[in-house]
Amino acid sequence: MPPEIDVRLEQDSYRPGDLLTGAFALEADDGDELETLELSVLWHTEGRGDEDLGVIHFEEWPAARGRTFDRTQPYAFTARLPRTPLSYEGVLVKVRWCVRVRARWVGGGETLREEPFRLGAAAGPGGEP
Amino acid sequence: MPPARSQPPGCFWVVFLLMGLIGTVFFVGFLIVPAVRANLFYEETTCTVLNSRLAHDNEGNFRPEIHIEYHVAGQAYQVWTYDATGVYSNIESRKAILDQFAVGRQYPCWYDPAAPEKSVLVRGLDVWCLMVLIPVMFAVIGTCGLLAHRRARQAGAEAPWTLPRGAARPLIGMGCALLAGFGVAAAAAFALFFTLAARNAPFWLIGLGFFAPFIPFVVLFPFLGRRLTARLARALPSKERQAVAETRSPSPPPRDEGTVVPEPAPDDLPTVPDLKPAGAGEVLAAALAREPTGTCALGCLIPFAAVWIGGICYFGQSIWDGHQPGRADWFQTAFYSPFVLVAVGLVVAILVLSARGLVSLLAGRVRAEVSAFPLRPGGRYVVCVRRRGGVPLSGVALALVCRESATYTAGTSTTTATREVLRVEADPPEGDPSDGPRTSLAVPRSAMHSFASGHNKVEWLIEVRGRVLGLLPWRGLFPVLVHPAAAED
Repeated sequence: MPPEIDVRLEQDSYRPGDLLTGAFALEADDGDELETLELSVLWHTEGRGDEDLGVIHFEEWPAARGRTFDRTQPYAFTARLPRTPLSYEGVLVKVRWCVRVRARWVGGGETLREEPFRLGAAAGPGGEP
Repeated sequence: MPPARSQPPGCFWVVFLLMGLIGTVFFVGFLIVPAVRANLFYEETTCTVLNSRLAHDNEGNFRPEIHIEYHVAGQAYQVWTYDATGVYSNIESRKAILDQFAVGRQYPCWYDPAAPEKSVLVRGLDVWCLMVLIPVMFAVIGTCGLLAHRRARQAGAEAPWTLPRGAARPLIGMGCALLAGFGVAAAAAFALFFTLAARNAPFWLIGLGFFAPFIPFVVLFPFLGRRLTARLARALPSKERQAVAETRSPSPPPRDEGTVVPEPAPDDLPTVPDLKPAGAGEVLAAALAREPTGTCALGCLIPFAAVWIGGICYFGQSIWDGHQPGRADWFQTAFYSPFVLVAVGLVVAILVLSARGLVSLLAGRVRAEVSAFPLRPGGRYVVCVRRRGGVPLSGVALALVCRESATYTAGTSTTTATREVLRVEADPPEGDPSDGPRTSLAVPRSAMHSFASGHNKVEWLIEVRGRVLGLLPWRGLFPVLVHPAAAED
């Protein structure tokens, strides 16, 4: 059974400049030793073009540098969201926001968990004028 | 916030440079040096033509050869020669060269004073010498790539391929082991191939001898390759880590309960392009600059098309000549057809761009002006079209257009797909033509703001359409900036 990560956000939609709050927890056996754990709040593009990525909040717990993660407690985080880019569902271009937690284990393997959210009200290319 | 960006490693450009340099040395050594030596150092004398022939190579190419006799320091030399490069080709027109040298007649020739048995009947640089431009191009690309790579490194950009020294060492070792394994297998294969062929071994045995050394390599490769890929994936920093390294955004300090995270400034708009108006308008607040048309491309396209079509005509001459009754080479014709189609496409593109340029010239200088800049979703803006010079533009219509662009890489080619995803037509413009026809445009309330990242864009443009001389269609696009709606909106 691969280790799991549970990520939760207070809301699934935010306004530009809002404070995003959430928490995540690791559900792993004691035998699973973390090599590194990363928490990112980011936007990325999807669609026809190559992916672009922007990280607005990044925290890491690299075991090699002595910053260990306490697995007995969920970790709460906050991040101030920028005003742009807003979430967007275009035809060729889509902009998506998410909180991503990536864990790499000493024995090999990686666990990745994403919790998407929306920033702003823009939905598609346009709307009613 | 600049997006995560990937760029080829330095070794990629080194390979380009090496290929270019090796090719350049090869072409210079075999084509240019002999021709230059013949021009500068060979001495002139007179020869008598004894015979002529077409010498063929194994691929059906040929070259003219003239059998001549000449005397140097009292000694007679008889050689088959023509030019210094001695290139074989399949250009039919070269057969006619034989007719230029009549048997028994005398012609000037040039011999090498250091080796009088070497001589030529013509001294000019052969057109094949231009082939050297191909490897030179590779060398130039490699050099430019290396310089750009060096500049990026000096600017502090962390190469995505950069690995920690400790992680890189075993990976380099495994990569070298794979390469060395392939090298040993190839060496053994060729050794067996030539040994067995020299001993007149049966064909099946020669084939077996050639492929057998690769079998252990093919068996071991997936195993080692998988381990290499897995280790590489683990050793490389994550995409998010790379993005942070490239933007040099430091990781936030461990969270302090009392810390208040400030709100971003209203003008802090990451990924919104920094587009400025062309200046203040004459009747409205901002004048917009017209998006460049393909007219500038025409300047590059014409010389490129001239070289391309010239090359097609030159190399296609032999194929055209070959289409005499019963002598058509359909394989070569099929091979050449795509090149001819590209030439036709170039001609069509030049004609279309020229026609557009002519219409733009007739229309004069057209400017759009807008009552505010940047625009915001839900806003309504007055737009007017002003002209200076040119013939009247009739049937003017305006629209607000949203366009998406996505750049993607497939193999070694990079393509940009562009699509208009929204169009808001304005009411027909009204007003005094001397003051510029005016209308108003509404930005949709839930419109996306202008967006630009490394490979993806959302752009907004005001489109102006009209007819020159009441007949020829004219279209101009004027990029505008759409900011996200203000918080109070």
